[in-house]
Amino acid sequence: MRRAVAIGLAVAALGCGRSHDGEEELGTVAFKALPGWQRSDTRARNTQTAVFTPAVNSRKESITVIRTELGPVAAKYTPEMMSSLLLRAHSALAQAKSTPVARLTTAEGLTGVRVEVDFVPPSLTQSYHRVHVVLAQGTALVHVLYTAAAPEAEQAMLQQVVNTLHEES
Amino acid sequence: MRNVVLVTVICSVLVAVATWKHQAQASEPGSGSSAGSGSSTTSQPEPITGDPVIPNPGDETPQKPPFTMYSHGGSNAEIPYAQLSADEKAWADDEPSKGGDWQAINNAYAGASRLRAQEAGASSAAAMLGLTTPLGSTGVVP
Repeated sequence: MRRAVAIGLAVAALGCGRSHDGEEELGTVAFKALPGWQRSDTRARNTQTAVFTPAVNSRKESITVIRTELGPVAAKYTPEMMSSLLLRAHSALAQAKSTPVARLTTAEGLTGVRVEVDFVPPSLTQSYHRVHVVLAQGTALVHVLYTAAAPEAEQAMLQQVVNTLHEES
Repeated sequence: MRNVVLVTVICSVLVAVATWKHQAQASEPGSGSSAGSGSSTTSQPEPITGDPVIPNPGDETPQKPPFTMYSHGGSNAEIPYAQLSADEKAWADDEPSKGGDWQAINNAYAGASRLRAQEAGASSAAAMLGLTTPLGSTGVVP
């Protein structure tokens, strides 16, 4: 009995996703690990979230990766629909200024949309910059958000996550 | 043996039915056997010797019609314009610019309603994208 519980807990921990072999795992997706960045995970019913922040964070930046299972309805999510929903989702942020939504295809062949938004978070006065990428992955969507008060021009870590994101074999 | 038992059961049932019927007849109101016994369950007017007690007749509070306004206190509660002080008269005369600018008030409510509708639309779009946490605070390092 104890062995079964231990195995169950180990499987659950694996399902939540951690890093190994230089890769970070989140549900059924994986991407190249971010060296020197700390990870914290949360999990809701159909959604797994991993937030990465650098150990020294003068830019107040973070990368959030969210994998959310939508089920069969995900087949109806065209790039146009995702673009519209993404713009609308950001429209209520305080002092939000969005760029036009751009379509993208990652190095691993995932397709999606990308938008950049400047906004002021709740209960703060400082403006933050966000890059929000949404990728379709079967019956799920994968969100990658780069959020920073003083954003890095290259956004190298965001590019690394987006370009190496792939379905786990 | 079986016949004896059967006859005994039938007799017992007959005796029980006869006893129950007799008791039911005895408890009926107006039957001679129940007079004064106090076993009737039908309602009887309570015998009283005087008038019903109402401590202060006229103090009853009738139910207020739900869609009528409450009284402002009657004519005794009214303050005629002539009895107002000079400041109060000035305030009343200048009422539109001192709190009675209904256009501005209505515009403020309309703006707030528009904002709430926009927030609801954004929340709905985020939910359709599977986002369960508020986008405004997701990933924000304060």
